[in-house]
Amino acid sequence: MDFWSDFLYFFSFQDTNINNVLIGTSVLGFTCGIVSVLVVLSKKALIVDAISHAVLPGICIGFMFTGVKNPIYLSIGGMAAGAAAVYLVDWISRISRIKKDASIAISLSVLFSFGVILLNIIQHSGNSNQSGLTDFLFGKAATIIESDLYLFLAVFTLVIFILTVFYQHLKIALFDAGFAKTIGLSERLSQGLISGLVIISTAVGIQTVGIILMSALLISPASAALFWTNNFKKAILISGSFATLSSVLGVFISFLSADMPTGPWIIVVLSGFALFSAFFSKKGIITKKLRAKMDDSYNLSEKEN
Amino acid sequence: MIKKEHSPILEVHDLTVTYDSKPALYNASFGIPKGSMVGLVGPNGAGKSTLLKALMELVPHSNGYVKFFNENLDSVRKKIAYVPQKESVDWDFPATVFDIVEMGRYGNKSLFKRLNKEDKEIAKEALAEVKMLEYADRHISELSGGQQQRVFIARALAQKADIYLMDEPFAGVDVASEKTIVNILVQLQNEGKTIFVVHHNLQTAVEYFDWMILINKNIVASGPTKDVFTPELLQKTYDGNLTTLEQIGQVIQNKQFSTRKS
Repeated sequence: MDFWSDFLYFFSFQDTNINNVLIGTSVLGFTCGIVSVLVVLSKKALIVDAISHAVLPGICIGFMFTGVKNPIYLSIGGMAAGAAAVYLVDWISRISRIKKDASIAISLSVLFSFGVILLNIIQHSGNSNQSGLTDFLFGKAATIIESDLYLFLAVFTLVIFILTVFYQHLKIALFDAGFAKTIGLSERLSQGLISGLVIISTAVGIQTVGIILMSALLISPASAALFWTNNFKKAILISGSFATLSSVLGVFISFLSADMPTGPWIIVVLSGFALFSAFFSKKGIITKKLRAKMDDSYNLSEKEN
Repeated sequence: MIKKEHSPILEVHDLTVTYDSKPALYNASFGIPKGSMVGLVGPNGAGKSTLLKALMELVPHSNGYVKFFNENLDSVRKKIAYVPQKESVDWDFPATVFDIVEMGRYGNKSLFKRLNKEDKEIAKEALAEVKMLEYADRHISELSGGQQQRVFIARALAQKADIYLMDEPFAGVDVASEKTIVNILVQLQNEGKTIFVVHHNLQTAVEYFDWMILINKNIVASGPTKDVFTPELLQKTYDGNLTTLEQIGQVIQNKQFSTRKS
């Protein structure tokens, strides 16, 4: 098959398996793209990495308790572990002289190693259900089936709902936390909402890109989007669109060649968008340079006249 | 010297704030009368911003209490507007000037309600007062320091408060912005509002404020400017810091000079 027949086959949406993967990754992509704006604006990019790595032991424990690879149980385990990571980071920096960045790095590595150890124990436990659990490391987009979609859609709806209800609260708190507090907006609530949204989207998002690349899906979309707009609402929409588009392209690239992994391709495409935005958007590095040069030559020619 | 106020609009009693068990503000007690323009003056690290933050409960109190209108902050929040230092926020945030000023209206209503026409009108008026109406749709990253400060002041004006607490509103602003801000403060005072400003410039402090609080971890003095702005009290506040003292000497000379002239 040549490229164009592949292309037509893929985008004519006639293959249910492909459609499931496409819908699943797109919905997760959009969800994470939205949350990404909150992550980047609240400067929580580092802690996202700790949360996503912490999800691994959570998933393992979820599996050990139930013995089945039901995505709901695994996600619950993952969310609990994510919440534990947020608490751990906070606790370490509060009770000791260890600063926040160091306590994030400590929590991340400890929880992730713990997860890898549990993964090993499970692999040698003789439970045949465990095959495929390692897929959580780099994602397993290709194995998304229809029943997964309901979970993804539920999470998507929840994220949209929370964002709609607390839109103003979050916007004010993200811009000026001190002011937000003085007009009576609870800081604990806004912080909790942001952490909660990150944890929920991470616990399901790792199904497409995996634990190791998860933070990219929660950081890059907004980093790219913020180059294009000065409007909070538009930033959310653009960020979600970047993540969705990357998901579609990532799935398509991995469909073209059987050996190509989906998750990493999604992230490569997404990073491409982010880089392109950093250089060529209105606020991009090259655009600014070019404009400065044009202004210079304009000024020069004016002087000569 | 701490002048007792019999019915203060803001009363602070034995307020102590500590960071990592080091006191940043120690046993502060004072009261300020309604309708005054108060300058909070002291050297760097004297706890000026800390005091302001403690008034708004942005930092925890280790001891003591604060009363506005003889009540706790929580029951009178709507009557108090706080203007943080403009450096405390990220001006790359995706929002326009008007978006920020509008935020001043949310304290007065449930967050789940949308702003109505009246709220938008109030926000517009506030922007006009700081002479920034034509910048309403500008992105906030395109503003100068003085313009950023004026946007913050407009947000506070939109709150329609009775007490305004401002943290260094004149730091890093251009002359035109400083003038605009001073005029607004005077106007607010004429409307009977109380204004409480953290200020670091001694030269202008005498001019701007009718009530002054000198602070250096402790409250050194609190009272009408003419009683508080004396060489002895200033010396005590600035710990004999040489350059500052020279500045003080100059200011006091100028002050006498202008008094004689008038």
